[in-house]
Amino acid sequence: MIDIDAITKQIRNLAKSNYYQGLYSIDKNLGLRLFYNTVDFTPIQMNFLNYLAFYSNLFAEIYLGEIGDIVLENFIYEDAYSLWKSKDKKREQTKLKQPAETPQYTSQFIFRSKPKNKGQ
Amino acid sequence: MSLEEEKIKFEKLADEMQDSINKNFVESLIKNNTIEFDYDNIKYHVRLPTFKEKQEVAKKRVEKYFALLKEKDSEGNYIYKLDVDLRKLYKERGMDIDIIDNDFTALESKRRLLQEKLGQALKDNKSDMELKAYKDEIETIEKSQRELTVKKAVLLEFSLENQLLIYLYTYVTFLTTEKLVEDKWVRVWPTYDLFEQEDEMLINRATGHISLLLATESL
Repeated sequence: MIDIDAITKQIRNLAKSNYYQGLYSIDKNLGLRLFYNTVDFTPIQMNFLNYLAFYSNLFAEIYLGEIGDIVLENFIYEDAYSLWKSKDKKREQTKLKQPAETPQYTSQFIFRSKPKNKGQ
Repeated sequence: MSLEEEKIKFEKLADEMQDSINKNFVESLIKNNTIEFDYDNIKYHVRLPTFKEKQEVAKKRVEKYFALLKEKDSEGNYIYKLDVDLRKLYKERGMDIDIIDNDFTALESKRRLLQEKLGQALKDNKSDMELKAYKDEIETIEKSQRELTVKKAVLLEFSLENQLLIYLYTYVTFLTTEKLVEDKWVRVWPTYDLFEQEDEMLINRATGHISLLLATESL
């Protein structure tokens, strides 16, 4: 009997492969079918879909130069970078949500009381 | 080539073959929501339970839970202990499962902290040596976590909740195992009694496949 860790390892290897990454990118546009079934996905199939998206994002980041391809060396690097990235995103969002200091406006106009019409 | 080198080469080859078998098997698991297998020259498959079957399993779950809860031995003692009671019993004997849980949580926090540091180091293009140091530390923690998980699973193996789960997986196997008869999938066992009289090897194979199909899905 194969243990669940060994299965997860193979799910990741398959999701990371050029073949499934290629199918995944075409699938999004053309609606190709990855599975024989179109409904009632098993937890293993859902896990595979999650990893397809995970690796698709990772490959995009490598392509854009956000991270070196050393990250693909092992699962520990991949997970670590992914965790750091999501935390970094949250930190950025928190920064953006913080209210900016209230600016102190100084008027460029000088208001003066209207001069009285002396002639009246 | 020395004997030691030959041994290493053979082990590597065996690992690669096992990897390849696993890869093909896992690929078949991914492609479909059923698992086919042959037994005694008959083609079988296990499939996911339908909505109606899930309702039946839910009903059985309640029935079995109370049956296990009430079951007593010849001396009038309850046979099955709840998770919480088993923990108390172990504590009296000097084995604290809560400590195992706490240790696991502490290791998890440490692991996540190291993962974040490793992620930052990868982003900053740090040296291979630094990256490997983090990796080794994370691997050590993961190994300890696996050991704790096994230790806890062994200790709680006979809890009422665990026995209930085993029964439910068996019941789903009874409901969803089908055999191919004249190009049609038909249920193997019309009644649970007949299922219980079946060849144990066949039941074990079908249950093993069901546990893969349902994996982490809660019953």
